Amino acid sequence: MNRERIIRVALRSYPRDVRVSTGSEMLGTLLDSTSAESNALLARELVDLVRRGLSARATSTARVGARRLIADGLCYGGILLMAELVYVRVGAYVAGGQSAAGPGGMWEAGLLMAGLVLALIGYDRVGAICALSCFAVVTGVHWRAFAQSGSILLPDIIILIVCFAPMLIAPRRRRPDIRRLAWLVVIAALGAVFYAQRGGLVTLFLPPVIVALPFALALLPTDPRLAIACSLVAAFVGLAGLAQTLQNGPSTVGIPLTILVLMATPLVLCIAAARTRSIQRRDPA
Amino acid sequence: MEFRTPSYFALAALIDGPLHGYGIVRRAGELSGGAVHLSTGTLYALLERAIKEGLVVAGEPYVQGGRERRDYRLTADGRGALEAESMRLSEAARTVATRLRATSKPVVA
Repeated sequence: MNRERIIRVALRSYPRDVRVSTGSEMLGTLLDSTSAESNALLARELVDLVRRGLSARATSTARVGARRLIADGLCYGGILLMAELVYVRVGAYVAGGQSAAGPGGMWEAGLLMAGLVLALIGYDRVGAICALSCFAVVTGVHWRAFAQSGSILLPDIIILIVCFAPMLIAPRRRRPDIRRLAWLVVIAALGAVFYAQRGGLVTLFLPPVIVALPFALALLPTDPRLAIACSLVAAFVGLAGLAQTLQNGPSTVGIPLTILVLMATPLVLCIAAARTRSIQRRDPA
Repeated sequence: MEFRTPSYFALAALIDGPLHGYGIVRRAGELSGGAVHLSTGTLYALLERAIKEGLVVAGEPYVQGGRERRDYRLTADGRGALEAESMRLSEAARTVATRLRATSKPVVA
C-alpha cells in the first residue's frame, strides 16, 4: 500500500463532512510533511491523525444530542431485529418448507422484508408500520399457539415495541438512499448460513455477533448508537434462547449462552449510556 | 485568551501573510527554532478552532503542484490575540528573570 493510500485510510477516521471539506487538503499537507522523512514520522503523524479524527467524530456525535442518540440507537436496533427475523424466517422456509417457517408463514416474512427494505432506504416510519402491524396480526391470530409452545415471551414483545416505536415516533433523520439496500446481500448470506446450520440458538446468535458487534465495539468510543442497538438485539436473542430452553429442555450450549447474552445486555447498555454522557459532556449540544 | 505553544506558533506563522497548511507547518518550525513540529491532525484541529473563534479566515481551495491547498489568513482579532499573548509571555518571562537575578548567589570556585 503506498503512502497516499495509507493516509486516505487514516483520514476515514474523520466524519464525512470534514473529509469532504478538508480531506484533500489534509492529504496534501501530510504528503508534503512526510515526503522526505522517515517511516517513523509518518507513523506518528498517522496515529495523531486517527486520534484527532476520532475526536472530531465524538464531537460531531455529541452535537446530535443525547435523546437523538438514544432514539437512533433504538431505530438501529429495530432494523437489526427486522433483519434477523427476516433471515431466520427465510432460512427456516428454505430449510424446512412452510411448516418450519412458523405459524406466521411466508407472508409474515414478506411484510417484514418490505418493512426492512423501506427502513434501509430511509423510510423508518413506513418500515415500522409494516413491522408493528405484522407482529400485531401474527401475535393476535396465533397467540394461543405461541403461549402453548413458549416460542414468544412478553419481554420479547416489549423489546420489539421498544425498538419499533421510536422508528415510528422519532425516525432517524437521513436522506433516503437506495444504495443501502446492498445490506440485503449480507442478510441473504446470513439466511444461507441459517439454511446450512438448520436453525438453533447458535445460528440465531452468531451472525449478528459476526456482522454488527465488531462495528459496534469499534464505534463505541465515538458513537454508542450501534452498541445500544446490539444490546437490544442481544437481549432479544437471549430471551429467544430462554424460550427455546423452556420448550426443549436444558442443553449444554443453550443455557450458558443464554446467561452470557442476557448478562451482556445490561453491561453493554451501561457502557453505551456512560459513553453517551461522556461524549455529551465534551461538547453539549 | 491563553494559547498552547503549538497554537501560538501556528498563528504566529501567519503574521507575515497568508499561508497554506504545509507552509504553516514549516514556518511554525522555523519560528520556534525547531521546537514545535505541528502534525497535520493537530494543525487542522487548531485551525478549525481558530476559524470558529474568528482569529483566522480560510481562503478558497486551489490546486498547486497537483495538491489541493487553501490559504489561511490572520484576522485583526487574531493579530490582537497574538499581541496580547506575546505581551503576557514576555511579562511572565521578565518577572521570572528579575526574580532569578535578584536571588542569584555568586559562584564559589
